[in-house]
Amino acid sequence: MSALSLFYAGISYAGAVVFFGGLAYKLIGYALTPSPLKIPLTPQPASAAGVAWKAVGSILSFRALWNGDRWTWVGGYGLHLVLVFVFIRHLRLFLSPVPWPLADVQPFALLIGALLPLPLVYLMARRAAVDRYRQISSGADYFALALLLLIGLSGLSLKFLFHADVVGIKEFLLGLMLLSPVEVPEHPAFLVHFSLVLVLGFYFPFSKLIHAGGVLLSPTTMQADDAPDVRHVNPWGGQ
Amino acid sequence: MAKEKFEIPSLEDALDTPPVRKGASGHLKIHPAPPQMMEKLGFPPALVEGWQKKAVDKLGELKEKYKSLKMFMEVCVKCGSCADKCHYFLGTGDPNNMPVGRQELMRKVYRKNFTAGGALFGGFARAGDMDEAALKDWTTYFYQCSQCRRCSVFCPFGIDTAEITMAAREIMDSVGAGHKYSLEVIAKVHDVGNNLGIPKPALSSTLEFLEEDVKEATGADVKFPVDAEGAEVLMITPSADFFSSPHVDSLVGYAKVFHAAGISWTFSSYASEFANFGMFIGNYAQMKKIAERIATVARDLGVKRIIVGECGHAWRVAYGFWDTLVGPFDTLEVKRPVHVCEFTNDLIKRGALKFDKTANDGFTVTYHDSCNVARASRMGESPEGQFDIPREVLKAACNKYVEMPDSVNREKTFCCGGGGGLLTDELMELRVKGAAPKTAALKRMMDEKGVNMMAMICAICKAQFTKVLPYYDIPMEVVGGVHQLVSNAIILGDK
Amino acid sequence: MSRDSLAAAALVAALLAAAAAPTLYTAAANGLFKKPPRPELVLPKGGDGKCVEPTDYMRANHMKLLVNARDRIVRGGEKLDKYHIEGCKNCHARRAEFCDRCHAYAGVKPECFGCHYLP
Repeated sequence: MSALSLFYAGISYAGAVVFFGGLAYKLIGYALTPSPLKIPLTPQPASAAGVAWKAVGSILSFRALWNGDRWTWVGGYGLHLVLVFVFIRHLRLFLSPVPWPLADVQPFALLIGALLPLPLVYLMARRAAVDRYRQISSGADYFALALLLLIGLSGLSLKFLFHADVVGIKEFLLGLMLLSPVEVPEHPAFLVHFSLVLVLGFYFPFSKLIHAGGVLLSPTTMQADDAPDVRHVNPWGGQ
Repeated sequence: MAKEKFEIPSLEDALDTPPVRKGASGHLKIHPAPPQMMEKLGFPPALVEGWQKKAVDKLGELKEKYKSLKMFMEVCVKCGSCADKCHYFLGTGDPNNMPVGRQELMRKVYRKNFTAGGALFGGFARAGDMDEAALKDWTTYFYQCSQCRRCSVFCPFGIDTAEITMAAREIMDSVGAGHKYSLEVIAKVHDVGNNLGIPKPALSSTLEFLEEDVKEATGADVKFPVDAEGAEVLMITPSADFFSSPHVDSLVGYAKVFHAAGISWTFSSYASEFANFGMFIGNYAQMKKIAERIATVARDLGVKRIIVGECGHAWRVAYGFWDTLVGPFDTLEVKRPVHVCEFTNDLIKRGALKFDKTANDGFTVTYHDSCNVARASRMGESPEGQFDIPREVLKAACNKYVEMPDSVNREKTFCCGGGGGLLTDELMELRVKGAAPKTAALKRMMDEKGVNMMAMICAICKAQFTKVLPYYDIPMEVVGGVHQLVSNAIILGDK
Repeated sequence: MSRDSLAAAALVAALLAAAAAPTLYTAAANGLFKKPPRPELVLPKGGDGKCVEPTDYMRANHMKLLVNARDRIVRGGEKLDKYHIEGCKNCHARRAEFCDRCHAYAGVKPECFGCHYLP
């Protein structure tokens, strides 16, 4: 195997370990950190099923952001919606054989997924333009958006500018997944795109991007309002 | 009011997002707690040697004890949804009063010490040391948060600044920098049994005076018992209800409801305080110690249930925390505390109370949702009972009732500006400015709907509004308790 | 451990399982430590082994040539040349043994075959 292929195989596995391991480490860490007191944000359902149903609605609609700032909602909701289609667009590269109906939805997924730069540029501009957001935005906040933007642009270039051999890319990715790495496609735009994704993988679990998992474990929104009925013991409360 | 040294916000645009004005409320300082008071509550008397490291260590300890703190430090994406939802930001424009701005004061230190990114790329990630400047910001801006949870309603992750403020105050206390007001109040509870420091003789004579007063006004023998053994109900109410106005009018209302329903009840001189300022300073042990007085009395007196008076944060502590802190209440028949509004509303629903609603015809009434009741607790069985039940009681007692606009009502209600341990004179400018959003809504209701009574069920809200409304040329008499209106209209039987 | 923590841990486990699902699916279908699957093409027998452009170029860009040829020849009325899909058929006679293999592998459903039914 070429030195380049060895390098990419190594760094890919490191990225996967850090990404999945980091995600597990952070989320299990959240789950196991005690909640000394019940602090649901009311009004809140009294049952776990009610809370789960409400959470599904909140996550699908970004309800709190909709109520809080409609203009940011447009960018934030747009970004996450586009990312769903980007995910669908890429899933075919990781699944072999490609299950039905993944191939059929590709043209539509591309249509939406290709919009990725729009919400990112919009959200960056919003951070810079509104005085409150300028005040709270750090380099790290722009970095997360810029990284996604570069990943998006390099990815789109593989489709529209420097067309890559998708079969070769898939073979490379499947090789990594099956622990039997093959040569990395020596396509510059692909290498840029893939390298940036690895950076994202290393960065994700240890940055604010962990909000993706954190949203499911937040004590205020995920605890049931059942204080009168279910006894809650503080593990360090010294009863 | 003529002699204020600061600009009173205009009510015209008090609900609009202001431009950011850096440092606009940086000059508002708390009075530090004196050394003997700190020591009395188990804190170091003054800023300790090496406080910078000790504060960071404490933060490290708390993040492993509170899931809320750890997650809220790490999952914020700074979307800005909360930025203009805090009454103190709307009133001052200070960016450190944007909820996310306030949180960032702690996150800076957190990032530097507990994240790789912050340790490696300090400035880029906005990480910073726990130093003089940070402590100055903390002692300023963590005492400009009333822990009202309004920001949390608009946060996609439910990040609750109250949790962060509580942790910050706990950290500051632990290194010897405390706030006089809250610690003084807590010390009084331990010494005397209540926040106001009312000893039993004074309490008894006040209640005797109230009995005579009510007898004179109504002809009925309404009792105000203290430490009565064998009573069915233990009544716990904020001590402000005994002495302050308009609080005391609601206290009379509670007594009349018990009288009309024919239920035996008693106050306790040992546990003569419902409020629990242990929550405001984020100190679990203090919160527990304060609540213990009530649990002890409930067992000793052998009551069947505990009914609690009109107080916001204390209802949160009672409803959500008591059982965990000092429960289970196995000797009681009703093992959970009952809010006096739930109690009165049940009696109304059962037809056990009669009202002459015309007694309140001089009032056009609206209701102010108090934050801890609205966003941190419930009443009754329905998830929105904390909104509906007090309103049902009001509608049973008054003919003319109107609602506040949705944007400032129910879970979106604005804090009165004096909650969370900020009801202290040195913060008067903050309190006046923080009250602006809700006051603006009230003013609109007064001008458009003829409202002349804003009823509420929180001792702090009552004290705060009676004090700050005159700054806006609104008479303090528009402030009242829900049971004050019950008191006006209830028909007392011959029980 | 409290009920709350257990529920949260279960949720995290479900999340991680979802994240691992694509790997598990592909590993189950193909077997770990085996060479990754690749499309097996039946190459033209009669031809001289040379396509209209080099193989690497064709892999990445055949669709562009086809679209370009369609625009020039079918829509623009230019003379039929080697880039037109009819020319492809001369060597790549069986769509199922050539085109479809890669398209199925990569999850690509080109529009061509809505009109052009190759043998």
